[in-house]
Amino acid sequence: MTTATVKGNVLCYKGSNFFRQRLVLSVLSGKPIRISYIRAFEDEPGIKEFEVSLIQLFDKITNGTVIELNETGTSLYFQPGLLHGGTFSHECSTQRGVGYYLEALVMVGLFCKQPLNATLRGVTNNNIDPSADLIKTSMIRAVKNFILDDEGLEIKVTKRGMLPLGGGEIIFKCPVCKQLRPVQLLDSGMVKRIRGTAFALRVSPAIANRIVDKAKGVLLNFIPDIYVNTDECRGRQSGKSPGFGVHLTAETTNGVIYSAEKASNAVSNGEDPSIPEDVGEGAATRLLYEIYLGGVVDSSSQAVVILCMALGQQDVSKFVTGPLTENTIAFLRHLKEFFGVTFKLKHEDSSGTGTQKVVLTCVGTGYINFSKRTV
Amino acid sequence: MDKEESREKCNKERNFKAFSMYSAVRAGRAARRALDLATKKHHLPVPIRTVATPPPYVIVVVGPPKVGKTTLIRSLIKHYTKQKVVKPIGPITIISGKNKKLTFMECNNDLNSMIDLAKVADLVLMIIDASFGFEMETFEFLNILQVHGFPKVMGVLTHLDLFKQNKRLNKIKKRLKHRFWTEIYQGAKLFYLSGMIGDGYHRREIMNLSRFISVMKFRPLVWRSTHPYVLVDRVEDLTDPELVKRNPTTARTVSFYGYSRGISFKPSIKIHIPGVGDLPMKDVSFLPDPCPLPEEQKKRKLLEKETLIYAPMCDVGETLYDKDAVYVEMGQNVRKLDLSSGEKDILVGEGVGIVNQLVKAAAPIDEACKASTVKLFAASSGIKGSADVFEGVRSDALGTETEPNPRIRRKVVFSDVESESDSGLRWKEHMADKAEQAFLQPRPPDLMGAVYNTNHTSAINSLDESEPEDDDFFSKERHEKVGDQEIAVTEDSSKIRETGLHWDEEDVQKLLRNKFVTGEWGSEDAEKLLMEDEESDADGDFEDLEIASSEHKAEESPRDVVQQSDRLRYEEKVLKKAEFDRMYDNKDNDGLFQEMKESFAKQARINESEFENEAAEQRIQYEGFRPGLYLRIVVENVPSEFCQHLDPSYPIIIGGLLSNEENIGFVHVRIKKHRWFPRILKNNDPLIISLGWRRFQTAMQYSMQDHNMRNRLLKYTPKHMHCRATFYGPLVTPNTGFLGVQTVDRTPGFRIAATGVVLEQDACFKVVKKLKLTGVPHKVFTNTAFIKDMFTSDLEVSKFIGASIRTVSGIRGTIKKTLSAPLGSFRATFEDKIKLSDIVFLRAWYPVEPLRYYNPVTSLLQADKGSWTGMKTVGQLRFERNLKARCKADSHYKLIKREPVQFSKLTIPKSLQAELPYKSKPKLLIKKSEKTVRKQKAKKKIFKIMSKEEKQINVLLQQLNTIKNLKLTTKLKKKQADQRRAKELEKDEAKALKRQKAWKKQINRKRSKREGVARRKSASAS
Repeated sequence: MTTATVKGNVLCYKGSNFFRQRLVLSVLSGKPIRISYIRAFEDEPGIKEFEVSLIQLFDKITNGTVIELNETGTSLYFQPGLLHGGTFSHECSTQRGVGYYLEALVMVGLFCKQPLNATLRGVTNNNIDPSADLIKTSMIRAVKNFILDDEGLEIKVTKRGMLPLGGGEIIFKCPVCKQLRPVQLLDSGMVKRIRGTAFALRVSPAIANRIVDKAKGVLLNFIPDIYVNTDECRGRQSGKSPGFGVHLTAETTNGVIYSAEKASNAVSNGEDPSIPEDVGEGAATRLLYEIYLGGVVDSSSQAVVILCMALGQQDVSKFVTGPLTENTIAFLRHLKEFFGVTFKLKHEDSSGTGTQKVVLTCVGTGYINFSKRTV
Repeated sequence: MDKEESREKCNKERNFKAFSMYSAVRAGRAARRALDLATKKHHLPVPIRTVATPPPYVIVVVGPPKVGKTTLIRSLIKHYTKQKVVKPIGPITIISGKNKKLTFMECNNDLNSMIDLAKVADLVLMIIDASFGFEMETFEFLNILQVHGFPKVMGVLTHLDLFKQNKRLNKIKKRLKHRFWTEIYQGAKLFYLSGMIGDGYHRREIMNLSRFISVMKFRPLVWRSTHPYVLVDRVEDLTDPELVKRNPTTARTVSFYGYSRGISFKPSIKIHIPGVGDLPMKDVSFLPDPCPLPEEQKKRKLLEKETLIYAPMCDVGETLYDKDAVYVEMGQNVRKLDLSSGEKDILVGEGVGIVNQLVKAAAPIDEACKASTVKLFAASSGIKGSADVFEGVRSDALGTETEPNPRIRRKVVFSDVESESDSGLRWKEHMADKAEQAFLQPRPPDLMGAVYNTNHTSAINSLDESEPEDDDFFSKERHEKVGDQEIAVTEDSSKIRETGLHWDEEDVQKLLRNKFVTGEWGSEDAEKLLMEDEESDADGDFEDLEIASSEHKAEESPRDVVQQSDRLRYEEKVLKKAEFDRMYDNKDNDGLFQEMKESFAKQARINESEFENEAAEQRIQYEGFRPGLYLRIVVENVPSEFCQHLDPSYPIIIGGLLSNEENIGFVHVRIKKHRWFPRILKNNDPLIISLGWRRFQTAMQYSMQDHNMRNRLLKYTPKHMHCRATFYGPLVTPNTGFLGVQTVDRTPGFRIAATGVVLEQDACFKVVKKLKLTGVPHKVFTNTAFIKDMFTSDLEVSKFIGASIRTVSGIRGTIKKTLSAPLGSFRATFEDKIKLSDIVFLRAWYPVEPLRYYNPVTSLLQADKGSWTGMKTVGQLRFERNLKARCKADSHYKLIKREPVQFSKLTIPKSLQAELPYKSKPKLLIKKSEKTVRKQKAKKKIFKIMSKEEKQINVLLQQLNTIKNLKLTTKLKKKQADQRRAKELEKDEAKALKRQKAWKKQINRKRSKREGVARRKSASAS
């Protein structure tokens, strides 16, 4: 990752790294960005289809955005407009999951002018991006800590779709808020129950049960309170391509939810076909790993939480997470460049439970929803 | 008995409190009223963001010229510091109490200064010349204050000694007081300064005023509690003098000094200097407080040497502060004290003591940090210097030495575990040991450095370092060439894909056991609790009952059952007690209000304590420069005019902007023309607006919102009503107030043209004006008509197909299809047949965009600061050039003459007439008027019944009459016959005469012919 160079008002970046983070922060801070050398020396130079789709998504939810892309697509100038929101639908690229886009929407959704009601279509479950279920149980849950009135903040998976053709559909609804409030969450509590959903699309429904059996087998070593649903998707609800997967959550006594998931491999991409048992076991071990990492949010929501802390009122917020992911570290750096927020990062003396935790402390920037209208 | 009663009554009157409970209803009412009054006093709690050492409160002295502003400041400063300031220019900071500082600033008679100072004032001393009364400036300033959040205002009446009569004085005082109250609030404090003694006001009165100032409480204002700002009390030009000499108009580098106010000032923010513009900051640093509060001491009063004054802009106090030097003014000479060399003994003069003390304090911060120690652990020795803090922590906590070698920092938490994939099955060896190691692994040094110091690009304690086993779709180690360097590419996803340890191993599982409720967590372990419980029959600790219960049930004994029931009872009791306490112990019992206050107080405690023990530099990194610090802000590219025309009597403010506030877009506001402004405002006329920190000129587009939320353009603002307006300008938080003025120069009359509030902002707004297209039918069928002259081309028509149209008479219709000829005509259908003489309308809305005009008022760059003029209105230009407005001839209103309409007579066909009922049939006879009917009735004959004789007489008379009549008729007949005969005779005679005439004529002609022949013959003969 490179650091930004500031030219006038514009933040200049190089390389294709963390494209999404930069766009999200640019939209929120109102600072224009210029990204050059996007895969400039590769066989397929320039931004990819899924990134174009992301830019289109941002174009839909903002008003007055200026986007300049050079001919090869290796250089982008993005001058954000004001967040508008509203009702729209978006065809996501199947190169990435719907989660890739949904995560960006979760980050900006609260600061729109009108409540967001987005319908995203594409691949709902893959092994790269968090699925809509994961975002629902981990990120949305994390965001709810920061707003007083979370009515209308929901994600609904109406259709599931797997690689390569997708065909899934999710509906994301998000209210608007004026300000985020400071939050101090330091105690994660103990895991008290595990829940989950397994699904099998356009394959034998017995596969879902096989996944559940194996996942439960792994987890029952730790706790007896486990219940994994099987989500029956029939007809159109099951998308265009066959596949299966499972999503597991562990809830603690303090209401913290750790989530993990795994989907079957896409054979069309040249991967080996998955065995349901492997998928079940993989998801279960990932969940155990998330519990091991600990913190008040799971690893995939770290960035969202950090953003909410930084955009909060001018008060001290505190959060405990597991070790920072690379994505989070990049996000912290970007936050400093866009908002000038420096987090105080400290290792916590974990009392023999899991990994070394990180205590994140920061003073919010006092970000106010500029787009929201008053009566 | 009677006596007793009267005594009771007497008691009741004397000691009414003792009898308050006589009536339950009345007592209830009283209680309710008391509660009402208590609730009325509540204000919505606001977050507490006070700091330990707040910046000095800004007291602005305002008033028209010659009312005694300078005298008041001089008197107050004299009172506080015992020093005489001849010319109080610029902000003057003094220490007013043991923990209170004040900054005085005089507001000159300039609208720009008034606006700027209203935005930073904590207390306004509004001086009014009682001998003259209120002046426009006072009201203007009050209105400015109202818009930008109302700080505390205290009125001061001066020139009271000019009144000779006491009665008149009292009358005037009362009148002014009530007028002042209506403007601020009933009971607002108005001070009376009775007169001058020497060159100042009465000491006693000034002391009273200072007491009022010191007990003043300041409620945080919204704009200031969301924005950082600095009231600049010193400006220094840092540009190379050589450059300036070569080119006097070169852009300057200027350092501004002042206390950080509002919220903490972050170095990354953008700033705006009202009167100059948006400028990028080059550097922000903080200096030791030039006016420090006295150290801890026991005495009640301030010592004389502690009453400091700091006013670099006026010639008072001999010290000036710079980043690394202190300037001591000694008359004409300015001597620079170099701090690095230790000379401190060269100064003489009255400020020596203070200067020496300050010189000590003014050591560079790094030196100060080195000197200071922070104790993190009670046992450890103090840690020196900020840079060493992290090392100190490490060595203290772990007892191991870590090298500052970046290679070691690269170590990853799970590195030894995650390398398993390539090492085959060897990972299984010493699994428990490895897990233990992973667990007790030395903590990675300096997490902050790893994240924020970009030299460690990939050396981070991150999770994603290992190769995922099953996902080779995205290879991890990809690199990308970026110009001349190469950087690692990571997948842009928040999901982690590795599973970490091998959870099917018993040893590894142990690591995780305690994360579950079923785990063993030390002293609170269920089994242990059970053991303890059985040993000591304690009844205190029940916290983990539910967890323990599952184990309990297996070996329940009767004794346990008894115990358990006791416990349950106890638990119930505890809960009830807590509930009772919650209900009745709360003294104020204000529920939500109290809760809010508590939560704010709790947050304030956290805010204060969180970074208390950090080193100064670290703290600034996290928090920014908190309010109260004395800042030095270096700004580059300041226009040279700023330095050339610098006048310290004009306030310089550095306002911090939030992210997004540096951007420009369309702002939609609710606006009202000020009712004292003499004119209404015209659409698209330029208006100078003060919004947020900024003052700028922009073109307002006024509109009014219809019931269906459509914004309709207005040509002028309504007179006494709010309307909407849209303008192009900088974005601010919605709900911010603003005011508009047409000019900032000293024009007579009330200058504030409009006030309002920001509603929303966007990249575009839809404001529409009505557009009526008219056409005429050129052919009419029954319900269809061909309309022409509405459009000029087929394309236009096709855009409007389906649009509804209407005739003047109200017949509605729609546009159906284009027609080939004439161009732009179309076929339309109507709900009824229209006339060829009708006019057809199409009502449409035409969007109008406001002018993209935004021009910051750069008053501080002017030599004459009050004379800034931006874009002029068309009216102004016309007035200056003596031009008349252009007008189209056909736009004039003329008297419309309309001929009375001539309707042709109504004829009803006979066939129809036959079918009509009698009532509707046209009548042949004209209905008689009542008058004639009455007359006729009166004329009616009276018949007589005749006797025989009368009958005979009548008969005789009739017979006689008959005879007479007959005679007459025969006479008449004879006469007529005679006449006829005479006529016939006449006719015959006339005929004969005619014939004779013709004969005569013929004879005469023949004769004359003959005569003529004879004459010719005779002539020829002759």
